Amino acid sequence: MTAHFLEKSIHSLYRSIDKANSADRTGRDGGLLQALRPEVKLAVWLIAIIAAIAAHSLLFIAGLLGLGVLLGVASRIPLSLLVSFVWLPVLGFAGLLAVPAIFLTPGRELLRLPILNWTVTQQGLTSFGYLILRSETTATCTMLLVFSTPLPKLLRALHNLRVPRVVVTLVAMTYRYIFLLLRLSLEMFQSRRSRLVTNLTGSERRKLISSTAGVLVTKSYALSQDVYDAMRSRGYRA
Amino acid sequence: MPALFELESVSFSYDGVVALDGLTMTVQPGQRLALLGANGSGKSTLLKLLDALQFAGAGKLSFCGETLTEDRFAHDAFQYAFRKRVGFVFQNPDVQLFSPSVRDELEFGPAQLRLPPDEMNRRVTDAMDLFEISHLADRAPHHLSGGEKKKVALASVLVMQPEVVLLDEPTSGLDPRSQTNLINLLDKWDDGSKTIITATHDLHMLEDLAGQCVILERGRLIAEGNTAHILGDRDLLQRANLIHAHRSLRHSGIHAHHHMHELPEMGSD
Amino acid sequence: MHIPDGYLSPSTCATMYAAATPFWVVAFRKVSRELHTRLVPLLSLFSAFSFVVMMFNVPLPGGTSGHAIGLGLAAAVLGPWASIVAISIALTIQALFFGDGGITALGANCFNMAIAGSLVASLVYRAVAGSSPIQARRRVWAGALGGYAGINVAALFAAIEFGIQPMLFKDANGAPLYAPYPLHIAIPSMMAGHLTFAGAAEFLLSAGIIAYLQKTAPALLKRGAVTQTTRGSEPQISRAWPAWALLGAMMILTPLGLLTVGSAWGEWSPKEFANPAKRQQIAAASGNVAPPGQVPSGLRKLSSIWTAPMPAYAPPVFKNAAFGYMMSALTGCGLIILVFLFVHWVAKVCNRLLNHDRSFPREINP
Repeated sequence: MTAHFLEKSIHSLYRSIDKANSADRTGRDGGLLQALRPEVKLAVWLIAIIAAIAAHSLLFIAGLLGLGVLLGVASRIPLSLLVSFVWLPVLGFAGLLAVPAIFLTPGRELLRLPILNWTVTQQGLTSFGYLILRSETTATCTMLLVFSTPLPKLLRALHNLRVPRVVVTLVAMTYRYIFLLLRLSLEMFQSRRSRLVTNLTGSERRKLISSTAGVLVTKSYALSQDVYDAMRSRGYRA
Repeated sequence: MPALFELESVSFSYDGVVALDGLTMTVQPGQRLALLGANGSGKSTLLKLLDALQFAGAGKLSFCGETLTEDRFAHDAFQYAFRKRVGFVFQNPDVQLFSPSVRDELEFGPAQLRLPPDEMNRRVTDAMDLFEISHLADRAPHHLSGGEKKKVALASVLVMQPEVVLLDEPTSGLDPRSQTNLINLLDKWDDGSKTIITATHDLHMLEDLAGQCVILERGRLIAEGNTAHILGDRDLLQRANLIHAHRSLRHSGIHAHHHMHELPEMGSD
Repeated sequence: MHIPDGYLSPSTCATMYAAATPFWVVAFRKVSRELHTRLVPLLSLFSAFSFVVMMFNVPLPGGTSGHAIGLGLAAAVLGPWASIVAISIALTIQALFFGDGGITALGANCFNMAIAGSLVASLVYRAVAGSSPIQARRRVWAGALGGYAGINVAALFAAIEFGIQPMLFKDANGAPLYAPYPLHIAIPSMMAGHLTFAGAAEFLLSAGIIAYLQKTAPALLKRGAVTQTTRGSEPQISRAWPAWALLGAMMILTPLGLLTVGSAWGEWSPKEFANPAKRQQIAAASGNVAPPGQVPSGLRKLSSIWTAPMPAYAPPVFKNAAFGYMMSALTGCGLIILVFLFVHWVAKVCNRLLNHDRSFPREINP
């Protein structure tokens, strides 16, 4: 129990690595979306997301979501991936944020909760539906894009679509080193967990987490210097 | 014909900590030279100076008769000519492999040299064939194994077809078979005209890597000679902390933690 | 704090992208001038760091834990400009490749956390740290307070963006199309969470990392050590003023922009909103059975729970009205700015009074 925050941190780090590894696997599968040009996918993705946000009809947004699921199936992207990486987390965050809307929105009363005396309104339910459907639909679209396109291709497409070169390079290199730092933090947390014998006091826990983060900062800086040298060595001049 | 590298009492320090102390030596074209020394002996610093990533604090370092100074590297033409001829394979492949995919990584150097696209493609394809990494072309570097990373790192430098290659601990962290593979690749690539300078404290692959050795200790040159001769001198190796240093190979797996406690002397080994 | 897609209207999203753009451009130009060829590797690594550190779980007093952005640390090590770029890239990658945080809301998220958060955190850090030595205890406090202030300003911006949605965007039946919580609910509930938990996480993490760096890598804490290639002259605090003027202007213009864009979108005009009678007319005309204002008793109770920790920002007269929103937003932001200016001024005076502090500045400003 004492190392709860360690477990949670380790879990978050794992999930990110896992998500990206899954994307790397499914992206190389031969499916419907994988066969499309990344530039086309990017454009369709953007249109779909804007449509989902701008639409004033629950049915339309639900239709988009359904279409997304069908495309996912046709692209051999396992539904379990969508459930565990998109639908549940989004429901947990965006959904939780939306629950009070059911009771807080004024409007036509549909039913009244016993004891609490809270009213559920038609407008509240509609509002809740909008929030959930919109966030689920856009997250599904984004993950379909990511799960069906290997990262290098996606970055190349961004470049072809006139995203400034330096921005693409920055994003690419950041993504690459996120992995290194994720693994490094994971190792640090795991080694600290394995050495934990007694319960830590509050301040010891905070010291542990901030020294881990501190190591990560210094390591990041040292790496940036070394990477800079490696780039210059191969003729990089900006 | 001038020597390839010529060092005259070269010194270098990081924030007051001396890394190289009055070093004088020469490197001839076509030589295979090993820089031996324990951790902190200054060999990584020396490699960085040879690659003009850092510049001598005192003394003179010249390449083919041209003194290497920061001012000269401000000129594009000089920098271009130097970078084209000298390549550097870093010890940590995670530092060397910064591009999103293996193909991008191999293209980086040739692109900086502004090679025409078809020439670039030809070289990248050749290098991938030579190193047998074609199947990895579209993989991201962080999805590669340790051995694959080292191979790609070496390929990303050799694809630029330099005359001189500087290698920092090329065999560290590799299993015996990958070590042999790596050295075979270097042999396959070298047509006899290349200069290969290797910094290492790994003695058991030494004879395959270098014909000549210099031994550094705390930034000073304490011995030089041919490899067989140096390897026969156990007293010397012990004095340079190389026989014990051999054992530290086992710990190279946790090298990731090595740098972070010595930030002020970044880049020194 | 990451606003998901669907909580902000397209016009709000567009406005927030527009508001963020000038800061991105200025920050990027400044950083690339100072870093030159080191820009790409340095910012990439620090962006990657921001991304990863956002996953750390910071243990809080009382057994809970929370996430932090590391604003105080970014302020101390990177300064405002590099911090804006690094955190923006981290947020972009989260949204684009990991599906965390909205794509349409990315402009808003970057504006709140990366831009407003970084600028405020840096200002507070510099004001509190003054010219104290690198190893001074004061720098730990500076980072902690910077992080705390930064995250809370970010939360306030997010709350305001949430809070104006139900005023502007409803469907024909009066159901909110986007975030449904009005300002008097959004602001107190967001702030209650951030003044306590999220703020504490940010405070503790920033303090902890800075204390750690003071012991192990003090060089990183030197101003400009990381973000400047040439050890040039110390950047003057006054150089940050154009940015502050810009932030101030944005604060005034952004709400105005939101309102005008909102009406252009085919919703209601701000004037109509300011007029409660007209509002009821709209509601009645759209067939709403229960006109707004006649809040169900259950809701009133619930909303009193939400508002309990803080006095409602919007005075009741203006509640739900665009005018009330503008006033409360401006008052809130204005108050925060005033507090920072005050802190800045106090720190300056303290520096002048404490002579021993003045004997050190050469160490920090080489």
